[in-house]
Amino acid sequence: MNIGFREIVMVLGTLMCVVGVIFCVRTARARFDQIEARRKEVDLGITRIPALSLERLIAFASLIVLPAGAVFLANYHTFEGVHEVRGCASCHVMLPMVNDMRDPKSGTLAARHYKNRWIAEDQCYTCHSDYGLGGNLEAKMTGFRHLARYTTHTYHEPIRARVRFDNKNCLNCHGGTPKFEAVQSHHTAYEKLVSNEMICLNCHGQAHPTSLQRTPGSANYARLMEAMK
Amino acid sequence: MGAGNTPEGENELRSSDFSRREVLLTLGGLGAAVGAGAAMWGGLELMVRSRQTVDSWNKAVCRFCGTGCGVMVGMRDGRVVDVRGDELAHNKGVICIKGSMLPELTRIQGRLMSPKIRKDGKLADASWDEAMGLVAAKFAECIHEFGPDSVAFYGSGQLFTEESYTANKLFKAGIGTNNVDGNPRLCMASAASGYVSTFGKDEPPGCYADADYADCFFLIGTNTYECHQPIFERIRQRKRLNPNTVIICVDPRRTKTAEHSDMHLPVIPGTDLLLLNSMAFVILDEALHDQQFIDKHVRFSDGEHDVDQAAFQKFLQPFAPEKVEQELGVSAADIRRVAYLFAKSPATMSLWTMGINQRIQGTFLNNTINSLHLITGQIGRPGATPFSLTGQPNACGGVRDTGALAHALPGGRLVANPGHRAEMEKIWNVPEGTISGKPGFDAVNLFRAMEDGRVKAALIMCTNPGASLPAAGRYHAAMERCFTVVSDAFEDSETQRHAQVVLPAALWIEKQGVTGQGERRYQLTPKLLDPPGQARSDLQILTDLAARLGHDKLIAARTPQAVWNEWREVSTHSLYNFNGITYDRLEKQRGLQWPCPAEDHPGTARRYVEGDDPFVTKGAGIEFYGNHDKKAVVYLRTYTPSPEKTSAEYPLYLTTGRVLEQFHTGTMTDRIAELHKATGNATFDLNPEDANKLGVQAGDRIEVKSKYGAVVGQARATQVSRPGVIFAAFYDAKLLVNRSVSDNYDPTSKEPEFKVTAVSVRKVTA
Amino acid sequence: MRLLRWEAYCAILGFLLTQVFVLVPGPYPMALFTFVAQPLFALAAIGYLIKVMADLRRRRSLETT
Repeated sequence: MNIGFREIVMVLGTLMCVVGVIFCVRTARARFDQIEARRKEVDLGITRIPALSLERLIAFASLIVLPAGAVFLANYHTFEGVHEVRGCASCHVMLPMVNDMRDPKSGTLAARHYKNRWIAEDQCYTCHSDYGLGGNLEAKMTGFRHLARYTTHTYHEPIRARVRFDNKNCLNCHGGTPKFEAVQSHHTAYEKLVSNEMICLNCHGQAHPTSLQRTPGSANYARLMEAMK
Repeated sequence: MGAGNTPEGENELRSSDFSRREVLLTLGGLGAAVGAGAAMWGGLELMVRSRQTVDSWNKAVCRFCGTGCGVMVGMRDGRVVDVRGDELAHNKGVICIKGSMLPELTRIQGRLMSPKIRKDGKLADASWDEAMGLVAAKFAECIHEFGPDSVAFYGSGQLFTEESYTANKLFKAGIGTNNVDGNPRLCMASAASGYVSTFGKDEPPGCYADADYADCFFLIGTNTYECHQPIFERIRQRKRLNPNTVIICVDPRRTKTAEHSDMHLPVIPGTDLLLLNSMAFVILDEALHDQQFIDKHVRFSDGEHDVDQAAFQKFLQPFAPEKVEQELGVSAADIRRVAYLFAKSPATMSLWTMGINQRIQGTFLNNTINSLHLITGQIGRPGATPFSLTGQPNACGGVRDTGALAHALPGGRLVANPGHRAEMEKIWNVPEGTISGKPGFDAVNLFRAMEDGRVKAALIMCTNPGASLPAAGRYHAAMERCFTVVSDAFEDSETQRHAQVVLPAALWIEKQGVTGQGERRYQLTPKLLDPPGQARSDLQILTDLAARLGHDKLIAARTPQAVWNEWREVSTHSLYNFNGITYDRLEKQRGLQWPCPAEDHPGTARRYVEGDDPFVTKGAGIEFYGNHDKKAVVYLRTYTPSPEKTSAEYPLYLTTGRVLEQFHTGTMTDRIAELHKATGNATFDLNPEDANKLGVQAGDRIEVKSKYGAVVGQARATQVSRPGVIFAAFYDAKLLVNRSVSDNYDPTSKEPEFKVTAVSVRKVTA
Repeated sequence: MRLLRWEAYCAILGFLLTQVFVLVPGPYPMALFTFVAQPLFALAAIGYLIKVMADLRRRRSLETT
């Protein structure tokens, strides 16, 4: 069985949350002003500490330490888990993109990169690397906005990207290669490509199915929503 | 719900866990948390909104070539900040480097801002009233004194349809002269006459989408990679998804297209009719033809009389591969291979442009390509079609369909046909006999008529004949002799230097109009900007002239939409019917292909095919209804070598063309910094073997001389040119290659032979 | 300080939401975690810290003289 960070997060996170709930229940029930009256000290075996101190420690753990730990671990899913294709595919509006990518008959850029195995894994993230911990702040904010919109269903299909796609995502792999350098137009437009004034897709075509194909009810929509092996 | 607060002192060992206060506080906490979450979301929305660089995206059409790509124009604060391919248009979001530079086009320096009149040899600013007053007065004077045929209109495949239609109507039905022609004569005339003689009607029967289904691409006389790049990308995409696809390229030069093809046939310039006839020979000789299709849909003719298939086969005997390979420059084995692939591939699509059209035998070459498709049945199915690529964005819709040519009338009619004239007079509501029966001057002959004074006043719009005519130098004097009026967006073209009046014109999205690109698709360009200075749309100029000449009742439609609706109605009286293509549909949809007779008709992807084409009789399957017997014609076309065959005095072939980054005479693209930098100044490209023989080294200045003129320019040695061939692109006024180019033309189409001129080359010292 | 009732209850809610997300990393659990659980934890922590500060001030533990 493949044990990765994801599994570790699940186990540790659960542990933290369970312990956290237990401690919080205890903290909720503690009457700090009356503890000393009830009991002076607690015997922990290797040492004796005042009961009040123990309750205070537990309160500190349950309201500061354990929440911090749980949040930290849970955010692994938010920032690293989104790298995986299945992370993207967990929102149904993304299914047309994911299914098209996995379709060997499709000619979109996503499909061609996938079919030819030019990207080994985390295919979505490799081109949309703005998301995740490594991406810039703006991209993260965009991701959270998508999350809020999606879960409250305040979006319209077909969804459209509002913020520009950064050509760096293409140039990171393609820039400077012999094939890239051999094309005159790359030199003609180089400054505009690097500054994102002109998008690579202008010459290289669709990366994903068109907005029309992704419109519910359109001819291709049903086919695109069907999972590809 | 728990009990109320326990008083202090009592029950001190157990605290009540769920008192109302605690519950309320907790719920309050939850509410506050949700509120905080909502506030976070709100902040995100504001952040994203402030990062957007574009206020609105607007659907439009690229200004440049005949591919006619759909583009999305991003506007912000009244400026164009971005142009992207339109993913929903026929080009599926793909454009080329020129289209990507369209934002720069809207900011080019050197725009004409005011009308100008030549006084004492120099162009001086004038007001519109002054300029148009002068133009109208001069035209009226010439018409009155010398008759309507003393004036002329030379238009362009880059004007909007509404503009070409109006000009055509004004001159033919108003002024009464058929001297209406334009630069499509220099580029598409042979394709038009080819289609008309073969199918009875003009325009490609197929569509760009056929490239998604073809198994064999036969590219001849086209540098598709550079000149119609989004289409070549579509071909490559087809090959990616279907690796068995074969791309065959026939071109004297080893262009980028040839490099990306599977087979390259470097034919000797001027000889490719030998190849086509030879392919026909092989197809019939080796029984690769589709006899059923021929029996049902094909008639044979020698140009004057109908003949039978046996006569056709006999005619082809001298074109056996072994007999032509020497003159052609391609081996017999290759000819046979290409013929086999063409005939036997599941679907074959031919694509061609100027290499075939700009030829003495342009019409014959077009006929023969069409014939190859007809005898093999490679037509009327997805991926199987003879597709003539169009050079300009609106040669099809604006000029060919509206009949804005010297011999034509709207909707495929001819001025020489009395029935057609009577029809148009009725439709246009003008008295019988208004339209002249005498065909007007075609492009080359028009400028010759200006040269010898038969034409005394001419209006030239949206084109640069001073640089684009063959034997260009000769016609500069012609323009000076004539009262030449030029409407242009940019200052100081080779044409304007010889004009008497210059009018500033609106460019691209500074005016609204419809264009019809190569696959019979009409698309709308919206007005998104105001023209600079005093520039006006060409439609405004034409309607103004019409009014001043007293034809305001005839040219009553003065807005693009009004003209479009009129032209739409006119089309219903012919097989070019596009009545269903309303402005409303053009605004909402990514263009529509005609025929489209009703508003609920989706447009016709493949013509002559039942189901697609509304004019095909039910049950007919494929029907070439353009001809009286509903059959297409295969012609016996004899090969005539070009009069410009090389000789001892002129031992090399000069051919011309375009490069990716530059469009036509460069008046637009050469003013865009990135594009200018990419190509630099134009050079003469010759083969290193020839350079060696001539003692020419790269960088040397050479003089390329023909019977028609001489041009001096810098030499570049490249393997792209085949030995014996020298090439130059025509985007650079400093290397006006058309001075040397011959102005022989095809006798049927009147299209000049830009592609074959015999030249001598010598090194020029200093 | 006497009680940390609502702070603890908020934290419990936070832990419950976090637990769901940790095991099922889909969009809805992620949204609940990001936009609800995290603010809940923040509120609980703020409430706690305010009470701790008040308590220390009351016991004069923050005075230096």
